[in-house]
Amino acid sequence: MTERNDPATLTREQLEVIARTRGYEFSPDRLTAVLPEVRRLRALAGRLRMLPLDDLPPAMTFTPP
Amino acid sequence: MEDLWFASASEIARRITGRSVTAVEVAEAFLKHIAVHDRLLNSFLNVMTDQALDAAQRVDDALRAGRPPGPLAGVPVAVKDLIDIAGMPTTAGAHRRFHTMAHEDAPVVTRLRDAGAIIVGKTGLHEFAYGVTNANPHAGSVRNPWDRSRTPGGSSGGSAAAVAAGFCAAALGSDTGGSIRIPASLCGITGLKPTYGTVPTSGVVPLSWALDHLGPLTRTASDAGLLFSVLAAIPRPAEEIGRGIAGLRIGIPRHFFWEELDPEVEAACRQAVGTLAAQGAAVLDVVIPHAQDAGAAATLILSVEAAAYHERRLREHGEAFGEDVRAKLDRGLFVSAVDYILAQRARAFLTREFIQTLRGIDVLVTPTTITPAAPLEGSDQTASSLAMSQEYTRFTYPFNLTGLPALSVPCGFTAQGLPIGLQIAGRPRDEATVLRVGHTYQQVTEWHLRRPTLD
Repeated sequence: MTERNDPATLTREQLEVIARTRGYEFSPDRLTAVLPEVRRLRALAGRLRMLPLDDLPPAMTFTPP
Repeated sequence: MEDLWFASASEIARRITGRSVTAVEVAEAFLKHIAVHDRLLNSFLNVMTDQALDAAQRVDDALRAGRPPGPLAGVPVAVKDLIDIAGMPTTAGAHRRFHTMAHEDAPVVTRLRDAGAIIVGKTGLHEFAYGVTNANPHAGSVRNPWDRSRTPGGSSGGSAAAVAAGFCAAALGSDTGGSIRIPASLCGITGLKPTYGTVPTSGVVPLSWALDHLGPLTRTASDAGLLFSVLAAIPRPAEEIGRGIAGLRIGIPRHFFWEELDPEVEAACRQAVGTLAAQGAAVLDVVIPHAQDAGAAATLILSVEAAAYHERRLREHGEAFGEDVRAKLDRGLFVSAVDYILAQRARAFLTREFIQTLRGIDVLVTPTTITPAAPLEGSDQTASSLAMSQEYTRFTYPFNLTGLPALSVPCGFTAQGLPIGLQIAGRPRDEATVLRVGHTYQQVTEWHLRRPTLD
């Protein structure tokens, strides 16, 4: 497996395919409005991948202490 | 009676309990103030005149009968309109299609009433609490009492504007990314986001279950402690708050939290740190190595959880959302489960890092916001609303992600007369120390005593 991880290359057409795969139909205007935000969220996830998270114990909690 | 408009909650309760004024007289005075002046600010979505007067009468009856009226006896309090009050619509600042009728009080409202508070009404917010401008296409914009052409901040902007304008002595807000502290800072009042989980959030329209907090907006840190004790059902930390800060260790995380600041914000906050040092606190530079990544993790978690909560509404009535909120909600539908869990793991990592930093110090001090209140004009545009969310939550998001208690207190004004806020954050469940620093600061400064001109 390889990862295509450049958020800036995500196109509206690709976003439409993802939406349909997940069972959503968006109007063209809504897809256009959300595209920059989806790109931004992907870039944020990319930042988090740089954190040394694998140094953590594997147990997970979903709320703060 | 007008002198009470800007009195603290504890002062109002003291005067009512001491029988120098009745709760009904106080309620009437505040309701009149709202009726005359709120048309300028639009801070209330619903004013509960009859219910407030009935509740005030019950406080007076209790006092006459010798029954203890509670620590908030007769104190006028406003409630952000995403919190249920029995018999009232909960609008969440949304399209009327999404309004619900509350059949019972949220636990926080029950606790306020049991403490003797008088609920005077429900305040405006950014639609579904998902934004910082309070520019609202459904209910109209709430305006900043210090400059009505500017945002009060959000999402609890109605609550902050109402306290700042003297319409109530305190208000309830919610805080998912800074929504208590940001408007507190921009409106020149005090706002406390308690430790995650200490104040119950049931009976409240959620935004993100992992990040949502409820807390008070007040005039003073002492009042925030009083309200917090009622909301969390814990003893009031009054003695702890009044101990002074000699010997306390204040950490200044200069990296990230003190960068890219508006010059006037930076000057005011630096001066505030100097004031705290003059009270005997030790000021230490600290480093939180990955603090700049907290916003990324919080944004991902919030985006996904908000989309999950609103998914059905987005499918069936997407046209009923404001454009900026719809874009924020839609984006969450495209985040993968792996990326959501990645953000949760980052949260655990960052929480550990923040708590490790707090082992060597007692509190962290930062500016609350990077800039003072921005103009409302144009803030309803999607791009502007999104940009302002990123900008204003920069220093507040980390404490939603980590769940640490954080307080905003007024620490100055710009040359244009706009308030500036200082953020004080502490260890989990150590609200007392956070409030102690805020209270000590307010004992030697007068920023929190300034009042806006409404006419």
